[in-house]
Amino acid sequence: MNIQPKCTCNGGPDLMFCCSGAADTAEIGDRAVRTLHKAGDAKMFCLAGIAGDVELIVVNSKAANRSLVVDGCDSDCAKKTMQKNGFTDFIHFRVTDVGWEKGKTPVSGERIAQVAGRLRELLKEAQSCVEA
Amino acid sequence: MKIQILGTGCAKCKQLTEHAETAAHNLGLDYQLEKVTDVKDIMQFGVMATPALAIDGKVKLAGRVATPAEIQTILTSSINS
Repeated sequence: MNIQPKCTCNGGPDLMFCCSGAADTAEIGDRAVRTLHKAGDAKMFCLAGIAGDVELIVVNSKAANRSLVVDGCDSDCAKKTMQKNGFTDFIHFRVTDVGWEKGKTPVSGERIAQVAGRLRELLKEAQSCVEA
Repeated sequence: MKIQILGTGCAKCKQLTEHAETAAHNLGLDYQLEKVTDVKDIMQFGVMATPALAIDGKVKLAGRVATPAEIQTILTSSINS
């Protein structure tokens, strides 16, 4: 029986890039992104691969349907890394914008879940913009 | 030079193939065109979206149909690298 393979040209995945820095707020962002990755909301992708100009990571990142970039604080390292490498069309989220102070925000499951929920909302809002 | 088009064969894949051939022809390249249509083979390249374009086994573009001019730039840069 000849089975026609499903066409794979229907757009790339939703990708997430996170600063994954040393600060507490960066860890909250990182773990929230990983929560969404594990739940299948979007795929976490390597920000270091963008900074290092790793060709396959850059090519795949350019093919993303939507990109969500998460920073722990207003240094915006992830956002700047993306912009420096030619990525401008992405959703940006900063963990300290929740109202938490970098270095004074102990990492907790509750905070990670709160940020994960906000990131999920942002992805959903972006999806409705695309569909509208 | 080996130009590989990764995709299961829809209209976008065909368009990318045409554009790649136009680009290679415009540059006067001696090339071999290969269509990689098997999903398992496509996955081996590590692409997350198709259609995709690989030059000598290295993925240069994924998830969209590039213009012939854009592909010419990719081909030229591959020759020079």
